[in-house]
Amino acid sequence: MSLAPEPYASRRDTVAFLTCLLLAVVARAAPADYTATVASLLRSSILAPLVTLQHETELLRVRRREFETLLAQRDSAIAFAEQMEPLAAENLRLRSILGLRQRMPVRHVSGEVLHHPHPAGEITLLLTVGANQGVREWAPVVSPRGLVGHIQSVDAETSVALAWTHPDFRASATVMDSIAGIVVPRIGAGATSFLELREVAHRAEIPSGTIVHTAGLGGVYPRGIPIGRVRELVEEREGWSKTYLVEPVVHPATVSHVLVLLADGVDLRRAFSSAER
Amino acid sequence: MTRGADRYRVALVFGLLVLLHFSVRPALGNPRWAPDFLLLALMMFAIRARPGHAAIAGFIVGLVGDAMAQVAFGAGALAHTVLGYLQAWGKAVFFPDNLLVNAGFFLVGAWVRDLLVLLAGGQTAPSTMLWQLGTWSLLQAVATATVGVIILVVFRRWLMIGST
Repeated sequence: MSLAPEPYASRRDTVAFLTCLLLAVVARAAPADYTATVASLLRSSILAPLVTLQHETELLRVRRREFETLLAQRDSAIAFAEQMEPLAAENLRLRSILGLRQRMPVRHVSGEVLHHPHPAGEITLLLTVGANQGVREWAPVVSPRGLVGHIQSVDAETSVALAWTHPDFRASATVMDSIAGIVVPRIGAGATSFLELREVAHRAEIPSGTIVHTAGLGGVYPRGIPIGRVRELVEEREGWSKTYLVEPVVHPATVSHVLVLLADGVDLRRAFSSAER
Repeated sequence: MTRGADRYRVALVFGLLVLLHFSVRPALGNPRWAPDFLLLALMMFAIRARPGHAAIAGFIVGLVGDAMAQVAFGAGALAHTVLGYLQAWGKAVFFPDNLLVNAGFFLVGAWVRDLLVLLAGGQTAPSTMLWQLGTWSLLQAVATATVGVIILVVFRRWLMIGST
C-alpha cells in the first residue's frame, strides 16, 4: 500500500522511504563508537573535497580578517603621528588577539572551526586539525579568551570537539585561587548561554565579575584556563553549598579558530592574563 | 527547450546550491541563522521528484550533515528522509509552480527539519528545545526561505516557476 495518493507515490516510493527511514533509525540507535567511525570514514572519503572547500573558505575569511587587522595596524601607524594614545590602545588589542599563541607555555596546534547548520551544532565543533597534527582525544580546546571544550574524536586531518555547551560537560574550577567548585552547563531557557559553578563551600563569598578558572584536577583541563565570570548567586543550600551563575567568556557558536593543547600538567594562568582584562 | 536540457539546468542549480553551502555559507556570519543551502537543494529537488527519490535524497543530505556535525548521528538522516518524502507528497495538495507556495514550503520545511532533528537527537532539554525552535530555527528558516525565493526568481525559467 502506498502512503501517498497516486500518481505521486507508488509502492516503490513507499518502499524507498521506509528503507531510508529504517537505515536512519539504525544509524541513530547504533553505538557511538561505531557511528563516530562511520562519520570519520565519510569525512575522509566522499566528503573530503567538501570539507576541504569549507576549510579553504574559512581560511579565506581568516585571511580577510587578518588583512583588516593589517589595515588597522597601518591606520594606527598613521594615527601615531597625530596621537600616541590610540596607538597604544590598538597595540594592546592586537596583542591580546595574536599573542595567546606566543604566550602559551605548552605544545599546541591551531585550527579553524568548520561550523555546520545543525540545531544542536554548538554542542560539538568540527576542527581542521587531526591526528596528523598530533591531536588526541581529551585534548583541551581553547580560544584566546578561554575554555571551549575538549577533543571528542580524532580523524587524520579533522577532529570533533565537545564544547562546554554539551550536557555532559564537567570541569573542576577554582575562583581567586582559593575557592573550589564544579562547572556544569546551565539547563533551562537559553540554556546554552550560561554555566553554573556548583558545590562552592557555603562560607565562601564570590563577588560578581570574578573570573572562574579551570582547577587542573581531573586530568583533562590544565590549571588556569578562564571559563567565565561569576554573575550572581542562584542557589544556596543552607549550611552546605552554594551555586553561582557563570557567564562564559567564550561561546562556541561564535568561535572561528582555536588552539588544541597537546600536553598536560601545566599552569596556564599567565597565558590568559591579558585576555582577562 | 528539451526535457533533457531542463534536467541538466535543474541539476546545475542544485550543484550550485551544494557549492554555496560549503563555500559561501561559512562566510555569512553566525552559523545559527545563516541559510542552509543544502536543505534548500533538497527541498527544491523534493518538490520536483517522486516521493521515493526525495526520501533517498533526504537520507543522503541528512547523512552528510550527521557526518559533519556528529551531534546525534542518524537524527539528521531521519529528519531529512521524512522531510523529503513529505515535501514530495505535498505537491499532491499544493501548487508547486507557485513562488509563494515554494517560499512557504521552504520556511515550514526548514523549521520542521530542526524540530525533527531535535526530537530524534534527544540530547536537548525541553526548555532549550523551545528556545532553539522559537529563535534560531525560526531565523534560519526565514533566511533559508528568503534565499530560496531569490534562487527561484533568478532561475525562474530553469526551475519552471510561475510569476505569482
